[in-house]
Amino acid sequence: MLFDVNSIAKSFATPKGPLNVLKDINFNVESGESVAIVGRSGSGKSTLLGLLCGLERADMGKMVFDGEDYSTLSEDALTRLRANKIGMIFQQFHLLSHLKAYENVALPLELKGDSNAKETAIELLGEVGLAARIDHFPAQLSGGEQQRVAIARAMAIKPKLILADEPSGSLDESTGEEIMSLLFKMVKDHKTSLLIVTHSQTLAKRCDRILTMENGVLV
Amino acid sequence: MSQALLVMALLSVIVGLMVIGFIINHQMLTREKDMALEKMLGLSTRSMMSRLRFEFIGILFIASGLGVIGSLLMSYLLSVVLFDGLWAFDPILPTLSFVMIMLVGVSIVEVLGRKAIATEAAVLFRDAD
Amino acid sequence: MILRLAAREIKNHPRFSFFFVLSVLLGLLGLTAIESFKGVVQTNLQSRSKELLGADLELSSRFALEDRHVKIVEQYFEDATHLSSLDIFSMTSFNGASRLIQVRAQENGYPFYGKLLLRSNTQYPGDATPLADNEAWIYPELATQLNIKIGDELPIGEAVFKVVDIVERDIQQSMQTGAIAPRVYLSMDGVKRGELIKFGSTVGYKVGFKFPEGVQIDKDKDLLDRIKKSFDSTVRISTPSSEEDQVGRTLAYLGDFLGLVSLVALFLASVGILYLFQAHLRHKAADFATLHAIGMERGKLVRFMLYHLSLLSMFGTVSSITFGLILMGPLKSLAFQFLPIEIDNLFSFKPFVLVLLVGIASPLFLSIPLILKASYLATRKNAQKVPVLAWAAWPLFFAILSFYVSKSFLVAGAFLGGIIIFLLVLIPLLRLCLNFISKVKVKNINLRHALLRSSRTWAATLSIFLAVFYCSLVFNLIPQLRTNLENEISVANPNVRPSIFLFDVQDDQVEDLKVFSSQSNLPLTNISPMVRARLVSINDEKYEIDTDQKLTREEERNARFRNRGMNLSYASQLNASEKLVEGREFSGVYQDESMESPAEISIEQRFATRLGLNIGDILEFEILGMPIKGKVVNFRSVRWTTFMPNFFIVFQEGILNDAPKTFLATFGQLSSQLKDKLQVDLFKKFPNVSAVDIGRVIERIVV
Repeated sequence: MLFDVNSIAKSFATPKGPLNVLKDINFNVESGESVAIVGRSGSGKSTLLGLLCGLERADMGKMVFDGEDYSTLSEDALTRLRANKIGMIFQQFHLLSHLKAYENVALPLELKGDSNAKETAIELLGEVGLAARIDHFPAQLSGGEQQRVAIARAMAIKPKLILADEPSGSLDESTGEEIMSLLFKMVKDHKTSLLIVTHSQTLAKRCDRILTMENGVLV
Repeated sequence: MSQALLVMALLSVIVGLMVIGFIINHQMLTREKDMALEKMLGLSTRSMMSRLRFEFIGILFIASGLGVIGSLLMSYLLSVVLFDGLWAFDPILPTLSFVMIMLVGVSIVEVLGRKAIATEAAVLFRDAD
Repeated sequence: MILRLAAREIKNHPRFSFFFVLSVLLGLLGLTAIESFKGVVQTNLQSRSKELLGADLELSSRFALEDRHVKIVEQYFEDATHLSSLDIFSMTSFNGASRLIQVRAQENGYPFYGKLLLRSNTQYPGDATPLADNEAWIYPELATQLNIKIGDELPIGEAVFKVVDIVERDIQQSMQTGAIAPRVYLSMDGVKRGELIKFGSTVGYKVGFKFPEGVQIDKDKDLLDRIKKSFDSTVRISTPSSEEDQVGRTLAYLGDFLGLVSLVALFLASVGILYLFQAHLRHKAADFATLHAIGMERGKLVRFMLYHLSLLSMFGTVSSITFGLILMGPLKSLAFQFLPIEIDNLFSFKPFVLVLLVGIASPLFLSIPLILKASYLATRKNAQKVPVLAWAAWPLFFAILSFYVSKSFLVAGAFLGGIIIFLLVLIPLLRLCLNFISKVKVKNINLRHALLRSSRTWAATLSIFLAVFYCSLVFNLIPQLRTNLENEISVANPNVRPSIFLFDVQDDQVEDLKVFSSQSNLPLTNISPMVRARLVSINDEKYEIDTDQKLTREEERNARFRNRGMNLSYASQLNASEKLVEGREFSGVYQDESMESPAEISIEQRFATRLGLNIGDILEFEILGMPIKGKVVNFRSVRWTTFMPNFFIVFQEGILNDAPKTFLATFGQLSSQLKDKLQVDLFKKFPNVSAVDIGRVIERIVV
């Protein structure tokens, strides 16, 4: 088992008292498996993603990723875990606007001290069909092309798990289809697990398993 | 009389420093998501602060240094060419003005930088909800 | 509706609005304070201009004014009354110290306007008893400097005068000479009794006129012109308006320079405004496109952005006006050093109109090209270029403003030149450097990414760079200039700068002075003859110019410069503060006994440039009615700040030696004690010789 999530709860303080966003989350992800979490807006998907990648700490429960218990890890250790084992793909792509395509892809590798970061990045961009656009800035790329760069960036560190937050949410239907096909192909080729958070049932059905989030619990 | 000129010059300097503060502040705000992303990708807060220091303090250093050189050049031209006088180089004044501007600039960068770096990386996810 | 949208925009973007308003406020603050202050000073001086002059019209000259001069004025104003006064420098001594003083004597009842307020709580003209021929009123500074009390007796010239009162307030006080030569009032008979007027003495003769009620000479330019043309250039005609300008001149110069420095703040604030607004427009690009898509035409879109900007600018400007008025307090106390009147809070409308105009127009002109560009983007006319005139609008506006504030082409030009040259050099240089930096391979990943970001977000990098650069420039420039000035006039070489400067030394006193110097074992140096003259023509063309059409500071200065009389000298060679720049040395002593051929003359180089002189030009002078011609044989540079006797025009020896003259001289490097003793001894032996303490002069200049 790659990722084991047990009885996770998270609440936030508000002027009207604590807001329980996540109440009792339990699920797991096997190596090489693709899992979709679907739910309406406000169901707690973003909060869950934040906990899964170690950016926030749960109030209760246990998360074990690749044998490492999050609750025993310091902030720096969580950062290293994220840098080495988890790739992120966002709805808004979140590329650094001042870096070219290959520089965006190479960035996580450079942070790891990889001396072949540029070559690896160019190779990956070739894999996602952007061999001719390596020197372009994000502003010069379409939405679909930007998401391809984001996918290449996520894959650059050879992660064990890709966390994708509404990856096709900012794309039109046919581009979204194309990008998702690319994503699924890449995770299959690189034997990476995939956890997608999405509204789209169509996208969810492409995954091995679907979990539904309602009112802070997975049903 | 020269006191009045000094006061007015000081006002100009204060305006300049405020403008520098605005621009750096605005830059930090626009980089909020970039910083969150860099945190997400594994960049430590120490490294992020390093980058900000390199970038802004580097600009401050070079611009301030050139400003001092520019003022020495202008005072030389005014004294010797226009007023036919001798030019007296006083090392204390330029050093003092350089140090003062650097100090203020560095303080602005440190304060605003730390504030910007403290942005929660979870802002990256908030588009989804 | 668009105005309402614009107003809502301010509410929706509080942070941007706050920073924008703050930039406008601070950028205008200095200008508001200076312009308001100048307006208040002008209004005050205008309202008291008659008191400043003391008359409705005044004739003044270095030569004695005669009945014929008075009759010229009286032919235009039959019912005018007139009274005389004079000013003369002299020396006095008390309690073991001596001082240079300015003696003023006036006929009883003069001045016609403005009063002296005396310590005894009496006023003159008014309830104060007019001075007898053995009495004096003195300024409080002199009383303090020499520890004089009422009732003490002061030797002035050949007589002794009893101090009967101290002047507490004198609206006709000369602020320029006040600290160096405090004023002493004597009666006209007192001046005669003291035998103060000797040959070569620097006397200012004045005749003041009072006209019947309702006559305002300043309003009748033609009449004033006719009166001026009736006199030669040795007689100066002053009216309340010209006196107001004269009195306020130093402060006006200061105000102009302060105004220019305040424009630096405006420039820096404009850098900030430009950055903020372009960032804001970029952020709003999608909104503008949406507005256009739902039916807002491009014109309305542009108006929307303009209204938004104008509202913000107005808030900033009004705030600036409010805070600027607070700065008036310290400026008023500064004015006290330069004006003989207290500044009342008389309201002047003009400065506020100016500040309002600048506060709204400056951001508008600055932002027009950005607004146009944003509107093209919103309406998908990406290929359309912003007209060049739109980019040139703000620089033109700033240039005109600089000229208006400084009232000088030269100064505004130097100021703008400084800004523009640096911009023209820095911007391309910076872009080149940033391009270079982006290609540099650096091992340190943090440094590499910092360099990448700097080089690729060049608008932000440039804005910060320029703001820091100009900040640093201004911060250092003015103190640096002040240090230069201090060093220049203090003069490092102790063997050159004198301690005491003497003038009004009579021809027959020179040998006695030399004997005095050797007996006292004190170094008397730079004994220089001075001959009073008028420059009549250059290469047979008339030299003096009409002073009515002045516009700029340079033209004013030039006119005053030309219409004064001149001090000539003669020498066999250059002195230590002079250097030959062009031409040749004098060929020796003038030999032509008939005095028909022109003598050789040496001209100071800046003076020569001002007059457009060339080597070989012939200048004709008039010395007490006698014409003397000189031919230019060389130009020399003079370091005026050595405080040695120096002249614009120096003749070769032999032609002016027999002309009526006085002498200047200096005593070099003396300790403070020796200086005081020397001044007392000098005064005892040569009471008519005036002595200036150079140290005091330097102190005054540096402040």
